[in-house]
Amino acid sequence: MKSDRILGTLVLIGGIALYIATMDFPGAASNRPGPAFLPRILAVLFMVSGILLILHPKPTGNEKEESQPGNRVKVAAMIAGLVLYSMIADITGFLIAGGCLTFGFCLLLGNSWRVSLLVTVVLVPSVYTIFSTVLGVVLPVGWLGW
Amino acid sequence: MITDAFALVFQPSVLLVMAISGLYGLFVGSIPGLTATMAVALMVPFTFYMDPLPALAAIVTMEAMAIFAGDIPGALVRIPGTPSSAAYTDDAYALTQKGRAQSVLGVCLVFSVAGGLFGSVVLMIAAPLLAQFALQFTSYEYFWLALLGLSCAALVAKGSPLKGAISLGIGLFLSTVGLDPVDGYARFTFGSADLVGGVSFIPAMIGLFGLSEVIRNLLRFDDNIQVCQTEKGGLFKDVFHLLRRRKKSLLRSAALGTGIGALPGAGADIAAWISFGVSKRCSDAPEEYGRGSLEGVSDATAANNSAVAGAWVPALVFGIPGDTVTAIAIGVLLMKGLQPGPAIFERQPELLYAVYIVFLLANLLLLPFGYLAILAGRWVVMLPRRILLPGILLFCVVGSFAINHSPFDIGVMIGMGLLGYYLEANEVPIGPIVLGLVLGPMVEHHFMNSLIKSQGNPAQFFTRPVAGILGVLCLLMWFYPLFSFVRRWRKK
Repeated sequence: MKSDRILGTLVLIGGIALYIATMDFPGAASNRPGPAFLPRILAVLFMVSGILLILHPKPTGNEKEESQPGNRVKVAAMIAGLVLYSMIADITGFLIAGGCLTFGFCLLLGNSWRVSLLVTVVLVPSVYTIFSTVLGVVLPVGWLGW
Repeated sequence: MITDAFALVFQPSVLLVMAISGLYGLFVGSIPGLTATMAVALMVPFTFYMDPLPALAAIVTMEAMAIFAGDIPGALVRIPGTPSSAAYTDDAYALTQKGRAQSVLGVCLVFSVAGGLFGSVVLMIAAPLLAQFALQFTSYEYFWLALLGLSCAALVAKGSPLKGAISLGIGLFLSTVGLDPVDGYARFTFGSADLVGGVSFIPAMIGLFGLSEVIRNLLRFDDNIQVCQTEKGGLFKDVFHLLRRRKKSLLRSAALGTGIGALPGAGADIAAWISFGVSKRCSDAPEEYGRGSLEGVSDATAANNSAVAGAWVPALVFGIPGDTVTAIAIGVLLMKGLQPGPAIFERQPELLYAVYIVFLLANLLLLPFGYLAILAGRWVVMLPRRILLPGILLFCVVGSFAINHSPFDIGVMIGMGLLGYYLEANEVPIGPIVLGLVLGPMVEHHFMNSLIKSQGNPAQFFTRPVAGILGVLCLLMWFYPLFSFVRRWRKK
């Protein structure tokens, strides 16, 4: 019930913010509504839904995720790794950035450094070859790419 | 003439091209982020060196295989390989989690083949008639059709309808990001050039389904458990029973898929969503939908494969592409000096009949090829999670990047992954977000166009016969819960 109220509050705030954001949009023409039409309908939908969720929260039963202690830190580390990847991949190339991401994630999952290295060395060049050479999808070449 | 067509198709070179493009289609379709359209586009340079029939055979076979192959990663690791599998990914994956990966993939395969064959037969028999019907669709009909598709969100969403509506609203909101369809006004772009084109659908889908699953796995991570166990009893254990029991549903879904596929602009993904929604409405066990319904999966997968043939109806008859793949195919035909349209029926009927045979053959080939692909995919579910998860994460990254070659799309994937995880942890279904993203632009574009055409008169939305029927259907769908409530109340 508590989580529904939090969700309802977030949805309500989102609806209000969305409505405010559309106030600068150009107005309607004589024969049609303007660009704010659909976003404003959605803003009202969010506000009404948010209020309904706050007023009538449903018991959530047993659905809450049970996370292992310390795993939230692992999720945060994985997200940080992904953000870092998106920042450096264009410079270093897929092989290095993807290799670091895969190796780090393997270690994060509790693999030994040998297994992590093996997975990285097999997986990353294989994916690069499949996409770049076989399928013709351009991945960042960087320092080691071909 | 028919014998000429058979002679054209059953040449070793054509059969070899079909086999190679079939394997290519299975491979590409099973890789998240690579769509059938992209695969066909990548194949175009090879078709330069082919005669018209092998070129068309390659495209048809590749597409049929790719649409089915998208089901494999959806069922095994919860990342739909192509957008056409998104409608039933949750159900297929839920069945895998219950140890029924083999059953669900067997059902996907056989029902895909059945849907594809149905669509091919319709293409052969009723192509001119269907194309005439599809060509009468104007913005009014398209608006109602898209709205009908959106209304299916209420049907396909598991759990609370209110949370389903919130999820759909999020999808629709994301679809409004970028230039507005009429005035070209930049909405919610915050000065970012990357957002002017809107939120890219593929990275969003990979984040919502794939990354959110990786996060969930990581939060509950236990070193010693595998992804899931597979059941004994073979791939086709549930198939024949289901085929016998759901003959009518199969026909309904395949007919829906072919009809929707024949509409220019609507495609296999929309066909799957609508078929899944209709299937739930007609089911005796609607509560199972979203939690692992084999019926929902079978109906939707039949619809998306039948839509592939449907999309070729306007393409062959009028030279108007039904979807992006047929648009490329028309380009290939033009490159070969062939003009698709009514003239092709008179000038080169043997080529047309040969294409019909190719459709039948491609769908029949799907059975052995798909079987092998599923056997190969079975090893994926047996890998330990600590080896599998890094692979999934890498495919999420590469799949998000591949469509636009933009690191920004990786950011979209991350954002959507976190959003998907948070929403699902609060029992908000994520399927309607994808539906909103797909149909949002279509609803808004056709609504605005219709209003401009009618000088702002909303009554015009009901004056055309097909538009009127679709509009009434939509209204019935919305007010049905109210009617049933009043009926129950009066009975009491």
